[in-house]
Amino acid sequence: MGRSWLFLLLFVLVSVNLHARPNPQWGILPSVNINKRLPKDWSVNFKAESRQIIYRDSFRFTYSLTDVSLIAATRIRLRTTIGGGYLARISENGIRHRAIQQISISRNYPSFRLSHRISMDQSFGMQNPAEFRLRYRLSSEIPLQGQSLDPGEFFLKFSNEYLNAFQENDYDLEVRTAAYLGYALSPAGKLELGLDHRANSFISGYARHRFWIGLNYFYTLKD
Amino acid sequence: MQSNTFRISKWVNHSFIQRTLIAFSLLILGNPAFTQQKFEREVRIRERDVPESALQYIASLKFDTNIRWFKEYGKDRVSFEAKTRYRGENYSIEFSENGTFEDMEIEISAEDIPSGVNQRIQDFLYSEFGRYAIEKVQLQLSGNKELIRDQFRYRSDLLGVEVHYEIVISTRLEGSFVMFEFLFSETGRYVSRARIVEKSTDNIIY
Repeated sequence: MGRSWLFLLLFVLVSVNLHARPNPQWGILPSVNINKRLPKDWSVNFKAESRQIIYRDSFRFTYSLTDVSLIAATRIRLRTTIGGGYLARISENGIRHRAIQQISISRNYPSFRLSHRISMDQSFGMQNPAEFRLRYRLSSEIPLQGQSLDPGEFFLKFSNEYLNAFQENDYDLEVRTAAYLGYALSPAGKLELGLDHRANSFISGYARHRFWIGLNYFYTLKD
Repeated sequence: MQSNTFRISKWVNHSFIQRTLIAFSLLILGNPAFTQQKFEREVRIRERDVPESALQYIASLKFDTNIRWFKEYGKDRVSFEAKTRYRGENYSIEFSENGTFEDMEIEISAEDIPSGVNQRIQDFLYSEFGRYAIEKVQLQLSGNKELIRDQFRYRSDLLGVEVHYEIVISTRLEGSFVMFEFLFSETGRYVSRARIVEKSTDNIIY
């Protein structure tokens, strides 16, 4: 019953948003995420994510950019991880560099898992002014067939993120909401397909809305 | 002393291979990191897929809350489990594949364990790991299912019921956080342990 209400709420929210905003941008956002566990609770995470725009005023497939990142992390408590790394944003205009610092705290509940992530990043390069962001994201993973996720099972993933961006004298807030349907391919591999909505610029002017169809692949390499 | 002498003489009389094997076994079994791994897979099922005897027993407990049924696949066994939250406590009642009652588990806090028993358990855990954190404690009742039902319904004493404490702890071994599930007897005597295989959370962290 709870899940049905969650679906209904999501449907209503997405429907209302679709009707409320003129000319939202649509695109696809595939990503590959490889995690390697190291001794003494260290790990490294490699992520490659590409953006292709399929609708902006009219339907036209346009490659936008690719992000490549590497983050090293360590557990400071059983379910608390801190990490830092580097992201390169590669587009036809050049490469923009980003330093990332993050802390994440996850909790297991009887039927789902929650993760809080607070992160900061600093972006430089491509003749644009430096940008500083402070972000908070709440993510949940809800197994559809049991109390915890096992190989061969489907799951839902919801996330909500708030990004505070500071660039020179400007401030902007971006709100991201995402819903994914996932499948655990194996103990180490997960595949997710869903919708990621991002809204920004609504504080200082006319809101900018972007919808990304996300396809994520996660894989954890053995110790 | 005599028995020690006897053991030592037996030890000396073993062949080199036997001694090596025994020493290796003691080394391995004595290492807290070497334990059976707990890896279960459970699937939510409908009431109609549950054995009738299990349904009848749950009905006799007269829970007025929603019951969720799971089929659990262990390493070499299959079982059924009913879970509910009743009067602020999480209940889990396990049945064998043919619906025979196995145990009832109630989530409690460590403070709910009788103080002497709790102290014995903590002394054991301290001697094994030094620093550790208790993640979850369950009171496990097994044996006569009618007595357990009466205990549940009338909050009567646990006489004639087998009582165990199932305790999940987290600790650090060789620089890494790990979790273990321990089983202790009613008096706080160590019974068994299994290392919990943690599942990946990468997709909600990155």
